[in-house]
Amino acid sequence: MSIEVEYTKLSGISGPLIFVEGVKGVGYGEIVEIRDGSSEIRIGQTLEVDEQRAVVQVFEGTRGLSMKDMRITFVGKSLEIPVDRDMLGRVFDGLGRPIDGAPQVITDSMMNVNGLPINPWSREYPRDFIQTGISAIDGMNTLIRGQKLPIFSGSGMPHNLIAAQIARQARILSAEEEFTVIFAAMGVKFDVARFFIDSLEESGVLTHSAIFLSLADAPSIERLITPRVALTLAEHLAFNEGMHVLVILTDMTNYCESLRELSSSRGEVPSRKGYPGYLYSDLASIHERAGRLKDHKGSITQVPILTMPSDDISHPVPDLTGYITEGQIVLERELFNKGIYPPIAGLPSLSRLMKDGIGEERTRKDHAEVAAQLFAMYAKVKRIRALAAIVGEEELSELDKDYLTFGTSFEKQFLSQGYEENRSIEQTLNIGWKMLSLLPKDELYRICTEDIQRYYIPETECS
Amino acid sequence: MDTLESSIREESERTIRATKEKEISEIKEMEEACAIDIENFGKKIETETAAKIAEELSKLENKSLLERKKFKLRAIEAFITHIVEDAVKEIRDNNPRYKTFLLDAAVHAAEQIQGRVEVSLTEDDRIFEKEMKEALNAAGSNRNIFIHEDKKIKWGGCIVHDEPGGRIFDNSIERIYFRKSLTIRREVMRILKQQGFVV
Repeated sequence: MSIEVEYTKLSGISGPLIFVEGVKGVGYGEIVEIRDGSSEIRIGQTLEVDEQRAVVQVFEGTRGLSMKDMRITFVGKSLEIPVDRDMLGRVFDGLGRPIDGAPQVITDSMMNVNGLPINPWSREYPRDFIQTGISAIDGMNTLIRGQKLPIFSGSGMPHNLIAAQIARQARILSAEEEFTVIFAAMGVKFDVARFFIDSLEESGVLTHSAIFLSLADAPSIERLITPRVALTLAEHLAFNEGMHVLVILTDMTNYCESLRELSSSRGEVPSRKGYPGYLYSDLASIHERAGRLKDHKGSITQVPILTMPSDDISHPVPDLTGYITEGQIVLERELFNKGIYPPIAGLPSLSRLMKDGIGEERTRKDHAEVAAQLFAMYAKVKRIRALAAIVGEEELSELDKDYLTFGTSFEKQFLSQGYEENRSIEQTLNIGWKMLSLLPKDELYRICTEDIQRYYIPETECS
Repeated sequence: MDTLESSIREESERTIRATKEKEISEIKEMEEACAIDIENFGKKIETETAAKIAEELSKLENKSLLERKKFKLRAIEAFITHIVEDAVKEIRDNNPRYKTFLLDAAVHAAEQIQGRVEVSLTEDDRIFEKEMKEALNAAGSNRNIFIHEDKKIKWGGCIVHDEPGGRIFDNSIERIYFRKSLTIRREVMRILKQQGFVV
């Protein structure tokens, strides 16, 4: 007969940590249930174990817990959550418990939130295009199935709007394959959470989405589990159900701050800006769960969103994220201040896998050339603007003035679009050609003659 | 004079006629333009309304799909709660193995405790107090055994306390159910599916 043992001897509580004495046979990373006098059960995880003592991290925080009546049960396994297709359309808290008024799904599948380590050999190279309906992403920084492409934002910038727009509009072009969105929000305010729920509900995509919310007033430690819980469901849907899953994680900076808080409570030696030295490997344990597997139909694509403190791209969070992910989409405050939405910076943004997911049979034959040409021309616009700031616009050559016209049009017509506007890749590329046609054909040195003849719009038609 | 007068009259009449003709043609043009505008506006409103209706219908369909899903889960959950309550009652009232389970649970826990053993039971289960003391004494010698009632235990079973060791051996039915609830829910769901109550 196996009898559940509860431990009652505690030697202390410190922040989110509790110290349990006299424990036997407890494993590292084991899940712990904490009960006090009330009927509430909190969940935690073993962080450290020695012969007689265990350090437990409580996900829901320790506020209100009394050492006197507390009972600790070591469950004997790591945190597992039920996973099922029926979880689509539901809203969960940061630990995967439903908060939409209905009970938890009943399923045979339970999965460890830490995921299964993927054998590098069994990974397949990400290919194929995901259409977000946003020109700046689809045209110039294409998102590929199985890719991890973060959005680097700043305080007050519209990253939440962009995330909701991507969640609402994202689709794959082949209709027969199932596509789903999993949304995990960490440390967001209630109004932001409501905005996401309403946005998905009103656009009708909630039925094939799942939302995991760890609100700003939830204990910060809960945020450490939220992305893992969301990715666990994503892994089930992708690799067991064969679906293409887009996982949006916002805001990863809040996640990292929770990690810093926990590290500080544990008395670990801090690294850059107080973050723990293992921040890189911890972030990698989340981001590396994106991808495709050989012999599996589905894929996991990740779009983590992070806010750069003081718009500092060299801050440890964007810096280390950039090492792991395959490119980045950067939001620019200058564009934001000009009233351009989405303020996606043309030059620092990059999708490293773009080349493998675009072109004939995927998007359109001229896609790569148009993107490269727009990029080159916009880079030249930036240089000419800098020059004009010194010598004055009147001193510029006619061609340079044309470039300035191109720059303004590019920002206002190509980069800028409405929150409700969902552009197909065809529309995006056509707008791109309209912009390119503002300059003489000779300037289109990255595009083959055949495509210029086919798509270039003569001056009369252009005007 | 007559010629001049008639000439003026003719000219005036021609101008009036031309003005009237122009007026008629302008009115006609305006009416045609208005008709086109009205038709276009009507078409635009019709398209917008159709799109809005389609959007609202899709929202309703999605919402009803989600609500159906939630309703089904709630109904299953209520059914599970109901049958669990019945099953628990049945265990305590009519299952001959209940007493053996209770004594075994207490003895098994007590075997892991040195010294004082404190057992909590429901009021109804105190009828087994004497047999439990005998079983605990048989399991280990020189024990201080205390058996008392615990109102927090509702469904039966026992809780054995090891105060010096800081441990509690919880074998209350509530706790066993809590521990096994996922398996029980899954099993009920499997049976419901087998019987065709759930698709």
